[in-house]
Amino acid sequence: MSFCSFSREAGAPETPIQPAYTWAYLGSSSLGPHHDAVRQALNIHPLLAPWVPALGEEERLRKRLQAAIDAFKDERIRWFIGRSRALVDSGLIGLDKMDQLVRYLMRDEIERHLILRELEENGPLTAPELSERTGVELDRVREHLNVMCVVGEVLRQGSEGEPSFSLAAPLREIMEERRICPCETVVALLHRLLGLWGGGSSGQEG
Amino acid sequence: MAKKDKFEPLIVAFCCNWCSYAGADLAGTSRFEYPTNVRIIRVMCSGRVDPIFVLEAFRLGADGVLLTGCHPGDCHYIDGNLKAEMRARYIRACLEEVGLEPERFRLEWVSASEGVRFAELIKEFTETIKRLGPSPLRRREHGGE
Repeated sequence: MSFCSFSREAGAPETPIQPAYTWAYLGSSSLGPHHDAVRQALNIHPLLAPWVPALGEEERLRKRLQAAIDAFKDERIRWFIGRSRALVDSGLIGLDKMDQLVRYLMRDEIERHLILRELEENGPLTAPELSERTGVELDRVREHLNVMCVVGEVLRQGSEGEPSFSLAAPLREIMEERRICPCETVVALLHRLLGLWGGGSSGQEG
Repeated sequence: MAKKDKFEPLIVAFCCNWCSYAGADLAGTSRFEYPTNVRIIRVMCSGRVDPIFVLEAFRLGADGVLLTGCHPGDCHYIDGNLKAEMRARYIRACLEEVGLEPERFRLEWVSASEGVRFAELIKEFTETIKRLGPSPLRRREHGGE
């Protein structure tokens, strides 16, 4: 179905661009060296971009499910779910509190995986673009990006205006690291509770 | 509209080898009728069912997923079904988070002697899924918007 495909950098693997995403990609603030060539090839009027179309409900749901599958592959959620009964039975934590904790963690993980998948699929994107494409609130996207920058999964690009973000390594490598390393969860907690790395209490539950 | 009326849900059922699968077998050998919408996958224990299996089934277009195991206390592996119970709780939470109706997933206990119960369960779950309509991932196939 892809009607246009090009690589972002010389030697980088080709990334097929789906028709629905092409405009979003071209509207991105940090584009690859093929930006002008693609615009010319597609005869795009500069005033028309950036225009980020809403994803179809079906596509959005499919992506969220994929993100949930990715999240469940991580040890951090699996550990909680695996130990949840033992923890509740031991009286250390109530069932309701455990539910809240797992939901809180699950939500974070699903959203982060959504962001990672979008960055893998589309290359560098800004926080508003990510928010638009993932359906996650802008504040939360910014927070996740901050955390992922701190742990080195995502790189910030551009100093003026809205910075764009890209993956620091191939997604497969990032996923493997995430599966065994809970540091991101710790960073997120410090970010939210203590306001480190520009974070602060964002009034979230948990 | 005609397409919508013909909606036949696709249900994936994970049945544990020792109780539910034997219950399904009994329903068959006893000739209890139940809808053909269900595709049974035999697993050695309901505790073997990873949440990823359920999410993957939904991603691939299942309208509903049923997980059946031994009654609490009857598990062949002592507490596999209790582990499944906890997981099911979070699978439902995950479905809610993702945007699918949690009613599309259900955990039930069926013993080897409960052929009738198995048939009734499948009938009832099929009706529930029919009421909910096709999975949002398959709505287009069924003439939805």
